[in-house]
Amino acid sequence: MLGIALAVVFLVVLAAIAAVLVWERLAPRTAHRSAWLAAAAVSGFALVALFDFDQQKAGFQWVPDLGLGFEFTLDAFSALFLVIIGVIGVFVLAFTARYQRGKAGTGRFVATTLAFAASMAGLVLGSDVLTLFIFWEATTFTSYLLIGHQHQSEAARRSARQAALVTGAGGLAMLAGLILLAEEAGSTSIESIVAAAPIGGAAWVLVLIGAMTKSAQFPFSGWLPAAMAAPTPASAFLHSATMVKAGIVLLGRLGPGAGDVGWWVPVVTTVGLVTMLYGAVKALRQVDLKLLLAFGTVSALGLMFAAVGSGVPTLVVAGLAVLVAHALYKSALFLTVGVIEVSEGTRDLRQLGHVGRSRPLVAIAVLAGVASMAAVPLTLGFASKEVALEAYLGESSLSGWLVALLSALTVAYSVRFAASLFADKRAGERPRSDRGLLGPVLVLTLAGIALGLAPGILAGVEGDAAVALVGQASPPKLVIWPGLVPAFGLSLLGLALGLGLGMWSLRRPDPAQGSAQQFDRGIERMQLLAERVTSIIQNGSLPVYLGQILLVAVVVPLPALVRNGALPVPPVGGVIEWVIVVFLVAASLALLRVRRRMSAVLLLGAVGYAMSALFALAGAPDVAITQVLVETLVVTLFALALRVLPLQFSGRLVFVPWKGLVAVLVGAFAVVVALVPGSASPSPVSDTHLALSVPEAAGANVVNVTLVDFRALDTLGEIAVLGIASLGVMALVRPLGQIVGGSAFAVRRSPILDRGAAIVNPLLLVFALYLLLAGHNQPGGGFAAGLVASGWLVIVWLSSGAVGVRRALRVEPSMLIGIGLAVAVVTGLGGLAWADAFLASASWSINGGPLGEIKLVTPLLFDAGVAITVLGSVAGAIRGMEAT
Amino acid sequence: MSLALVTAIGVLFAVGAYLLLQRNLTRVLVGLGMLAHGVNLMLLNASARLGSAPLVDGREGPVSDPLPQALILTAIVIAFAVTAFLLALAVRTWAATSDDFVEDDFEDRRIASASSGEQS
Amino acid sequence: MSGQWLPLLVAVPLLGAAISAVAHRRLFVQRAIAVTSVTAVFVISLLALAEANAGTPLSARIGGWPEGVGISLFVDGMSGLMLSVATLVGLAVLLYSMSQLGRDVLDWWFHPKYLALTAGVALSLSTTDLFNLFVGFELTLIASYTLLTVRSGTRQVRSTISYVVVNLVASVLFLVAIAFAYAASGTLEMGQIAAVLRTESPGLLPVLSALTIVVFGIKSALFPLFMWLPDSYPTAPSPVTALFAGLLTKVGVYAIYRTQTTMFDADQPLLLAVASATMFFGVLGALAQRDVKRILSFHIVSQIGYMIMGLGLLTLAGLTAGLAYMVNHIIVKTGLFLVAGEIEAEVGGSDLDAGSGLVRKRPWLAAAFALFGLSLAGVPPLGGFVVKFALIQESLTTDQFGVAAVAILVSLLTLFSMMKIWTGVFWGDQVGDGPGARRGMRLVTGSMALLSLAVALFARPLFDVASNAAQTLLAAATGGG
Repeated sequence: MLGIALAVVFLVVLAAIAAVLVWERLAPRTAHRSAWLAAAAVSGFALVALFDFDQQKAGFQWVPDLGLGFEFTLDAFSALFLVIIGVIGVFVLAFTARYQRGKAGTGRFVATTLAFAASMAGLVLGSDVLTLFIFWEATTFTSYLLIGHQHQSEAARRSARQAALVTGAGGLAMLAGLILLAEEAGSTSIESIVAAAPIGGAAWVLVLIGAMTKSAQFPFSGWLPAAMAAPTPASAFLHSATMVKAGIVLLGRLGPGAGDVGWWVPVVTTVGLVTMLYGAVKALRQVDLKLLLAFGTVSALGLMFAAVGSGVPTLVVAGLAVLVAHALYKSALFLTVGVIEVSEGTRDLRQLGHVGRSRPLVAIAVLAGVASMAAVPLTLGFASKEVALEAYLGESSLSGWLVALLSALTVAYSVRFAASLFADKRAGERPRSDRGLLGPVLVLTLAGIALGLAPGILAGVEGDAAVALVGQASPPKLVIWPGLVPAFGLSLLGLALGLGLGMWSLRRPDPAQGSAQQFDRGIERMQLLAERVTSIIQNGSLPVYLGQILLVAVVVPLPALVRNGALPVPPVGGVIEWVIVVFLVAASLALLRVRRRMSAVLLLGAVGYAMSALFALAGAPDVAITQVLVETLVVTLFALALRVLPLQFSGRLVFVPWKGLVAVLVGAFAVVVALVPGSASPSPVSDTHLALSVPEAAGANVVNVTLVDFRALDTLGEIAVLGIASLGVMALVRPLGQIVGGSAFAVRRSPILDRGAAIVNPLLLVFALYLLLAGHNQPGGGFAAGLVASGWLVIVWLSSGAVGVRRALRVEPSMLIGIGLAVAVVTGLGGLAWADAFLASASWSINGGPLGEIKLVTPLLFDAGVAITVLGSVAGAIRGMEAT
Repeated sequence: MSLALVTAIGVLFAVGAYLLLQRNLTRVLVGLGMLAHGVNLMLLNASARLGSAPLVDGREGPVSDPLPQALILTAIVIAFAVTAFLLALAVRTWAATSDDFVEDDFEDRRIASASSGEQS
Repeated sequence: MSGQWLPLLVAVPLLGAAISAVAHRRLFVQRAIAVTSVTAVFVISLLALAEANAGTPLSARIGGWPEGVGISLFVDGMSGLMLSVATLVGLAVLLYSMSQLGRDVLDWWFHPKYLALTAGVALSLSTTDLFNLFVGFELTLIASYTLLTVRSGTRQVRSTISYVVVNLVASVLFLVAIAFAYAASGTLEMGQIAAVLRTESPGLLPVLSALTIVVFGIKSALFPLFMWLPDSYPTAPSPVTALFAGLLTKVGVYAIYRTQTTMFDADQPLLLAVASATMFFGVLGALAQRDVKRILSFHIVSQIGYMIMGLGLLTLAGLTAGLAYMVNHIIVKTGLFLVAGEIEAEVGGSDLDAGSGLVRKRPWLAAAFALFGLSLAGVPPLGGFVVKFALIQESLTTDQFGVAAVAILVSLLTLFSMMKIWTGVFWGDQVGDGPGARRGMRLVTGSMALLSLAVALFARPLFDVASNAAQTLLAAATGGG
């Protein structure tokens, strides 16, 4: 039942939001009407609920694994709060329609206000701490948008940020606290947590921080006055009547569960009363009516925080009474300020002394609201303040006196507010039209007056609400005339004190410093810190990055290496091996001394040739062949590339100690990593390869069989890498060719080379073909074949330039790359089709005439794809380089 | 595995790392080449068996471990591909600036100078 | 043996790359091939995910060779989840690029490169062979190098050089790890390496673990190895950055997840310390930036920290949260960069000072940004909240208070950072003038926004799938031990 009702209300609000957004341009009045009708629907629902609640529950699971879900309870407390949201929402939205008329972005504003109302409703209905948190954050976000609504103003943007960061930080702290509480209680339901009465101190501190930020308790109060940058209806709704009370809602719900935490009541009381003092003192120094009200709100929130947060039944009842009264008079006052703002064009109380006399209706609204705020008898404010004083006196006379004295400060700023509007003896100039804004304000004011005359009406619902929170409580004694009790005496004393103080404060209107600036300074300091730290970490220097990476690479495995123990000692190695290694080391060290770029490249080539000698010596002819071919090609490409640079390095290699240290460490690291594992693994996979190669894969060259069969997927990836790299080279260098002009580095033609090429080239191609065909059984293979064929292109290029290459190749390199890759992939897919395994091989024997029986294997096709891709890639790379 | 091989590995890594840390792009590229050589030797060094070429053609005697060789072949090709691309990149900057100095990242310097500017 | 069709994940995009390289200069054909191929891979990924989620991880023996002798592909819940999200996002970005990158900027080989990247990612996410993983990484990387320079000015080339050099060093280190693994175990199959080392020489296992952590740490941009990322990513055209942001680093994270669970006994203090530092210094870097794309790039780093945090918790719930985090992050981060691309198109730059007041001109773009940005910061009820909540809840209940505190603090700073973009770009007065975002871009960004909402809406099934995946991972970890 409740679920359906909630869903209906939610849908109504959602429809209204949509309507506002859609109709805003077409029919603004209809749009705004739909908004406050939605709010009226909420209040209607809430009013019914208020008198017909029966602790109904509704909800659904969201992510059960995490315990995330939406759980709602409609009890007296949430019903009461819903009424506040709905009723004040109606007035605020009716007011907004007029206040914002003709301004840009009104639809956005109204829609956001409605979204806020929905979030707030969710917050008070939530009976699960996580549900509550979700809506809590939603109110933060909508509040951000509303504060920053006039986003052209720097102040609005900053204030919005401040509010979001302070309440956001508190919200996150609270989340951590809630998680800890729920863990201790074993459930996220508020009911269970209260029943379990967890004693985790840290959890309660975190929850308290969350509540303090949201309800603007000292020292987190600064954001609330800053939030006055929001349009006034939003201030009336969010920042006085509803959202700022979310912290109090939270404490009201959870506070009773903190009974076993010894420090809870004293701390909450202290926080609340200090805030009360702070807000009131600040309010007394404001000249902006809105800021005055805002600090007044801070002060009033202090009292509610202390009372409701304590979890003590009598105090909770009193706190709720204050809360209801405050919502009513404060929103009316805010809206009144909105009227004044529109008609007078300012909110500075020093310039508004004439308002009281020239605007009788405004004056009535102000006086009625202020009287309630100051708790003058015959107002709702008075009746509820009496209850609060009574309750605190019941706790201890000290706290009673404290509250009374602090209330005197409330009286003082109320007086400051009202008196400033009557400062001028004569009525001022005729005010500008207030666009009929006064209507909603007056209705709200009248409602306040009526309730002040019959406060008893509220006693029942407030009592029930308190019962919903703390289990048992007697309804507040809300009466017009309390009789001659001590509390009344204290009230009168407070009124007298406050009157004097307020009048005195008016004589020294002292423009106050906002804490907003402090906050922004804090933000700037954080920003600066971030910049400094980042400019150290992220200093933009490639050598530093690389040094850091290498160092980390050496250091991280170090502990594990040390723990593993001593290094095995390897055999010394043969004489020839040592000769090659000495040559290699000499060439490497020479690299540190060369001054000509080309010499460096040639030395790199020399190291490469030494490598291939080592490979050959170690029984790896395929690797040796490929190494030689690749090294030659690399040197060629380097030579091509280096043409654009001066011959010599601009400077000798200067020894930099840290770089030397890193280099030595890296060398040592490599040695250790090479030595540690030894090389005697029991039964390597390659034993299987050797055994299976001929019988299963029909190839005697196990390296080639590995490449095209056992590990053909590696090779497929490898040629794709090669092909894409070549496409990248072509894409990169091409546009440049147009800039620099292709002719600048044209190669001189040489007749001898031409003649030589004519003889060598056919031989190279035949040799390539041989390597391809024989590769499966002899050293060779598709890759070597492709490289050798590319040698043909290099020679053509050397003899007749780019045109020659183009003529010789006839097709685009990318075409070759694509075809080669496609052949390889399709071969693999064939395997999937006929042998149910990607890249599975098949073989056929055919009679090759004089060549004897030839075994045709699919890996040969695959290898042909490899060769074509290699040829295309090298052609592309050469062409790309050549274009420079 | 042999002391000779391990010596070569150590020297290749050390020299490669040292060149890598230079500001001069040509040297960086050569350094990368050295590191690639070094790691290929490391793969060879990981061979589980030593001997002649791993051709199954009826010859007697131990053969070398074919698997690391296949890996080295793939690694060589990939290193070649990336080197070629890197060279093309280098040519782009060289042609634009006639210099192969690796400058610091522009944006990072901007942030750094902004923060030190506010500091003073 | 089920799942012999898994290699299609790699074969289809590779074939697409081959054909679109041949279809040089025929943009329409290239686009058709690219869209078809990526869609096909997405569908295959979904199928694999469905199978794996139903309890039977798939595997395929390439060439029909037994595991270890040849290479095997393997798709369990984690792989399937990553593959599905990655290819879906890849498809979205591909469509976006069609309207953003005109003929003027596009080179004729954009599509082959894009497809090669897809193939590389698919291979990396499904192979079980350490060296094959290296090949998959290299394929992904070479494609990324070439894509980074699609619109190459001098500054792009400069940043690409750093990117390539750093990644080459990482590749060398990867090969070092492979050589070490082979020398120690005689095999390259990840599970077998671990199994052999566990019995033969357990002392070497942590060494290999450390070697791989460094390698994948560079790829996935962990502290203190992340500096290359924010310098290079923002310089590329937005769709390319969007793709990189969503996918590339996550492949590195995937590799860490895979190896640390199935091969090694994860080093919890190290992982959590690295996670915290990555979260913190990443977000700090973001705070220092004044360019939308650079801010977002630093957030990539910061977010990686959260993913590693999920792994570092070493519990089922932690792993589940980490996996779900990755899924959400891929969608959200890609979406943010697509928004950045539209911002560039609207105001002519991505600098925070370049233009503002965009909320008037493009309210829906603002809404999309808000969705992504708030999700990134972890604001409820968006997907980002659910996954972040899962991480924080698990860290608090397992008494990892330090990392929880960092995660919470960084959330707040992320929110701050998103507000900075919001106020700098969307709020304010003047409106910059650019050519405006094309309709195709708007459609894709909008779809991504809906997708990010779907994460929140379908958080329950997402967590179910992620939980199954995490269970499989943990089972493999204990089974291999």
